[in-house]
Amino acid sequence: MLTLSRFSLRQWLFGLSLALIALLDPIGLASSTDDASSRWLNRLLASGYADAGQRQVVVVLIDDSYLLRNDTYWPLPYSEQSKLFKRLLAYKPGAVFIDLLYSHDHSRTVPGQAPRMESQVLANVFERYRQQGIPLMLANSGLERGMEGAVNVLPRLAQVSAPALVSWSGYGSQYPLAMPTPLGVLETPALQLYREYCRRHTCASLPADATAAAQLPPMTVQWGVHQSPLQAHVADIGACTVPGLIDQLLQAVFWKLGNNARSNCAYNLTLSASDLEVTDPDDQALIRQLLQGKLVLVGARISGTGDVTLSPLHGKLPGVYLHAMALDNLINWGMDYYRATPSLAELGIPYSGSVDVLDVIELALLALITLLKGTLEAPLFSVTGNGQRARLRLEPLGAWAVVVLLLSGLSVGLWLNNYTPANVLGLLLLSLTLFSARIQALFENRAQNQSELSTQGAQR
Amino acid sequence: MSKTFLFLFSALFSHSLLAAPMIEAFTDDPLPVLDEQGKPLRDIARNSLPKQAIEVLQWNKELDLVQVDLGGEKVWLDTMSVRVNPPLNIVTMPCQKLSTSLSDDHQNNSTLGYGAGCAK
Repeated sequence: MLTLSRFSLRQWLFGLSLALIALLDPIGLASSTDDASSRWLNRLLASGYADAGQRQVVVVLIDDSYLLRNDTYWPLPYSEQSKLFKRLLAYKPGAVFIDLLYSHDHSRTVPGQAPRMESQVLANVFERYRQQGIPLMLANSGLERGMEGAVNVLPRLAQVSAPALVSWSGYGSQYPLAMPTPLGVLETPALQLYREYCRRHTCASLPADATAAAQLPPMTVQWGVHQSPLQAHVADIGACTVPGLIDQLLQAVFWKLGNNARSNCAYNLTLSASDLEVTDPDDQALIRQLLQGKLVLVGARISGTGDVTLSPLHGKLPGVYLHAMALDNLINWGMDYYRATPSLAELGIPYSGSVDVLDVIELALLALITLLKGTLEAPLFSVTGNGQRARLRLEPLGAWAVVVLLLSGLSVGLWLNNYTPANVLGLLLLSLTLFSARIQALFENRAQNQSELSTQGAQR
Repeated sequence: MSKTFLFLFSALFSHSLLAAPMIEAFTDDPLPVLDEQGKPLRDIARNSLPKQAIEVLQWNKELDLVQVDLGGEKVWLDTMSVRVNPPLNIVTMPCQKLSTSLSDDHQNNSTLGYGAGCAK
């Protein structure tokens, strides 16, 4: 018969403090290690990221070189934009998302024209997309134009395009598929473009509408690392680096020593806006091959503009790549994209705040670590049978191995089910810290025993 | 003698030098016909377009549109919908260096200056 040994008050208090630390996350320690775990797992798994999405998604960047080549400036005048987007239209993309907020009409005064008419030139080009059946989405803040402090798409441009939500809060570093806004429920660019993808390809399931999409959990975007083989056709990729798995591991451990094993070029096939200007028929045929029927996202990388996103593999990239990568994830995994485990509130448990299922599992692991620590100080179980007493005692290294094994199993299980990883780093560090004294004592004992044995041998 | 030669020489090459750009082919089918602001007016099927080259009457460089005479009507076409000879401009593939990412801790504590003063 097994009976649970009694723990001291000190041990109970210690366990309770651990549980509170895990749940309340004071000073963000748990969140930091959680983010680090997620980041490093993505870095280690990025080498095996499938390229199905990469073959469908193209990013077109308006950059400083484009402005210099065309002797123009930022924000790009509407006439320049009209030229850019009509060139893109000529290459017959499958669908286009423009990651530019057309909030304020900066039409220049043109002699003989009514004021604020220059933006109409751009609207005319967008109208041609609609006529040719090419879906066009414009970045939308989801706010009603004219509200205090709110900006949104110029009505003239909104009339000839679909809104794609690019501004949200309350999702941490995750990417929502849709969310309610003062303008109604709006979908984000990745889901809208994925819907276009699904019109021409077989997709398992899609949310019926934006309201249904808003009920789905946000995506934890996974980043790929290997560039498209087509990239070298349109750009000099000599400066791009792609670290291997070993480099990534070394970087994880020795980052402080300056081992900068970071991929420095974006994963998605990227064209410069200048590439669309080519006039040679062979060059145009190449650009057509890259763009025709593809899901195109147009963004900007202009010095001094602040639209950047943080990739765990690349560092800071233009914000349009977040949408491109989220779309890539959807093409690869459909609605089984990576996400956090459901929160207890979603499972109908009241007063649970933002505690999710993984928090509870991690809490159970913490409890186990505490119990194991207890067994190192006192026996966990007393086994009685036939009047004899036997004690189940774990060695410190064995106890830590149990924790590592369970943590590995949990991580693999979460990964196979497309859930974000457990706080591997936090739990490993905590368990190592708790067991370190015992492990150290174990090695000291062994060293002492060996020393005594050798002394006895010498005396004989 | 030399004056005559120069006159004949310049007369011989002036045609090619001053030749108006011609539209040799229509690459879009149907061909979108636009107004002077690039607003789509209608589409024309390629088989109902003239087979011979037609002269470019004007080039709106600002909007990159060309004006032509189609069946007695002056209309505007997108330069991406036609092949013009001699080309209106020549742009080669830039093959520029692919832009690289910035480090995690990169900061830019400034914003673009859009010009000074209020238009009051």
